[in-house]
Amino acid sequence: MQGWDWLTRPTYNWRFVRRVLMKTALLLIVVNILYLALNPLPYLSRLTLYNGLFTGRERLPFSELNPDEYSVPLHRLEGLLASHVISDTPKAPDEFRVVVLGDSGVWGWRLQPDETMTACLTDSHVQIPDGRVIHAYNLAYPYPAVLKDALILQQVLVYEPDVVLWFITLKALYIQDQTWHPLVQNNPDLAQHFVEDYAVNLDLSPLFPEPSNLLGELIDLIRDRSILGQRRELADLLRHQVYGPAWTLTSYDYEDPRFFRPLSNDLLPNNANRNYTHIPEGTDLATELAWDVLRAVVEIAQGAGVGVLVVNEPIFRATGANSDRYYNELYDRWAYDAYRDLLPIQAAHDGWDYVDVWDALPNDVFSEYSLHYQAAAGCGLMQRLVPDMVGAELSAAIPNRDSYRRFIGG
Amino acid sequence: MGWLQYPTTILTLGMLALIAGVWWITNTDRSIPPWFILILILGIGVVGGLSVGVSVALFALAGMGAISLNRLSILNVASTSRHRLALLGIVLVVALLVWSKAWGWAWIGFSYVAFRLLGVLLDYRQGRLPAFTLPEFMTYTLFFPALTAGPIDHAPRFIEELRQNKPLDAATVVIGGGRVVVGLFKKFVIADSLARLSLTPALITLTDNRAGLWLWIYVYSFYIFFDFSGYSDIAIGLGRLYGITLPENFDRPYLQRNLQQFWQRWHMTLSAWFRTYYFLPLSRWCIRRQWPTYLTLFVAQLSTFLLIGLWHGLTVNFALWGLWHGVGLFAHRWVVDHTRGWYRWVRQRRWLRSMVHIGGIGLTFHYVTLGWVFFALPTTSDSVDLLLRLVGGR
Repeated sequence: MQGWDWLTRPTYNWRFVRRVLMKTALLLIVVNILYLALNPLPYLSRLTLYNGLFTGRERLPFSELNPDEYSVPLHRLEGLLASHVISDTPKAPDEFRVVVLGDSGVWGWRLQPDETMTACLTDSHVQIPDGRVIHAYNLAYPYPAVLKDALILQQVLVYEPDVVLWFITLKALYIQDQTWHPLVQNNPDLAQHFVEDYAVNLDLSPLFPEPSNLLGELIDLIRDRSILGQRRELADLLRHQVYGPAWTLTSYDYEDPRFFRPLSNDLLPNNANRNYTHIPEGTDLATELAWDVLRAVVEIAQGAGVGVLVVNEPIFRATGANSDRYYNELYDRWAYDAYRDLLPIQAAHDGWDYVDVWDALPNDVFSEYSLHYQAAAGCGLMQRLVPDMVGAELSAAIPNRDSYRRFIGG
Repeated sequence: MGWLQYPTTILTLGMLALIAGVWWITNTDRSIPPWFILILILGIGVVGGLSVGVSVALFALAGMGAISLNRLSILNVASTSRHRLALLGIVLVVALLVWSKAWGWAWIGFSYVAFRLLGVLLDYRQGRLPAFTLPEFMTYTLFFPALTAGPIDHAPRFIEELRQNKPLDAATVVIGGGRVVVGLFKKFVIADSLARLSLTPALITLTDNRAGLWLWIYVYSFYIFFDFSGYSDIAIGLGRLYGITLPENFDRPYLQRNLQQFWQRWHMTLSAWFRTYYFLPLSRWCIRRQWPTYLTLFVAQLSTFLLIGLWHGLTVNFALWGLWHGVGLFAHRWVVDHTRGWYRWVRQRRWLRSMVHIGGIGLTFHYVTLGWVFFALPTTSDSVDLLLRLVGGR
């Protein structure tokens, strides 16, 4: 073999082979034990070439593994935020910093990063009455789940937002969907701290399955914490850095599917999709939704002097013959109406500012999903929310919220 | 890309029949061990997901066919007839190769299988092929480490080594295993990482920065090297573990001082195959007809590389990629012929010689890298557009 003298020159025997295999196995075990003991993934996740060699990401990296989008689905919050532009953007004195949380609609499904409503708000250079200029940061992440938003919010408070603009919808409050979200599943310790510290009534046991015995515990430990167990996370971190040049040179992080099936105005039972969860009529949504998470998030933010504006996001509203059962591919009409009735009650009870814009957009601006809409529609919606954002900041700054409400006439 | 056809689990019955047919044509000893037929047919049945009944029926038909053929006078045909048979085989294999490329069949590694078969048929016509058994021939043609991406070995050498039945010793494990590990690293760590920045029309369209475009073609250049040479390392290492020393396919190709040296070190077995079975016979044919040297060279080199391009896929872009290299090699030869005196002068000056060598490496690398634009992009307009943008023409 030409050029392979280093490999072919020495004389090898079986003893040598045994020694190599034993040393390799030993090294593998030692390195894995060390890795397991040190648990370096949270620190490794913070190592990033973004915001340095490469441009920071304008939204959290997300991917469904399409080969032509320059993103990988990272699920460790440290890694997600380390590459985001907000982690390396000092707050300017005249900046009114808005952090936007929400699901795929807010993240910008079917939109490029510069077309999202967050980007539009920043690009509009809106000046608020005290002279500061709005700069919004897209910290949304696909799939609705308020617990996921709560974990993100806890991390972004260090970046000194003035207001958190939090888009929610009924689906984001389903209790059974909270622990399903990949960001929650991959950050179970953060979720546990959140639930315990703020006495949130959520069952996190699916995140911490009980090992059956000592051997099971050991297997779980190796699976969760060793290099072998975390090989996917480590590979994704590496891939994420590899995509840095492509992101810097193209600002392209999501492959927009060219064809999609537009929403139907009259869904039939067989085309209500996997997102639909039937809630039996008469269910008490006051107790069946994760209101506790909203309360805790507002408490955390306001504790840091940051206003939170909860926005009930726009949805597609079918009017066809079956629309009572299938209001859209997500909801029964009665459930959504009941949820909307509860919103002001919960807001008053827990003391959060909210805006209900559920019907602010006409049906023809929605694309393939009841929470996804066109760029221009999102842009207009953001402009409309500006006065409420300013109000939310004031609300957080005023200790006596009732007097504040009287002040603004609410 | 022809050499990286999408893998399928089915080795089609047709391909096996073709291989058996070529063996039949090129060998005098045509006795097939019954156990081999049994395993072969049942294997096809299992791999192809056929039912037991169909497999048994195929087995019966194949057995009857083998018995009938053994009794036919085909065994004793004259030399000219055998040559005609060989020619028929060549036409059949080439037709299948063209057909498979044109219609996008997913026969795993058929491009390589076809070239092995053609090599055997051409050697047979030249009377330089020893006899070997069907199992030996099948092993050569379908040797699994080299099935999907080469290297392309010569049948006599391969089978001679196969017959040695080398034992698995420690040196083989270290050398073969080490080579596999190196190959796995090159393919699955380096190449697969670089593949994420692979040259695509979307990437080119979205990049509005010329330096960025250059970065993408450099990345592609290294991606394709690590990908292909990684595959070759794995194949060679696995071959070694099975007691077969497959020929080398890459030897630092991007560190060569000219295009001729590059092609002696890039996909070496393919270029050697074309040199042996096409370029040299064609050149000799032209010289015998007293064609001018440069015309001979021009026709032989351009047509050789046109065929190498088309072997990768029947598209205009692969043809252009081949012609790019054919023209480059012809130009290199012309320059060498016209600068011999100057080069002798340069060689006597150490620093100047080093600089010319380094310049040659850089020039060769960039020529090859620009050529990948045709190889990587699907359409000629995309490729031409990128080349123009790279040099500021658009």
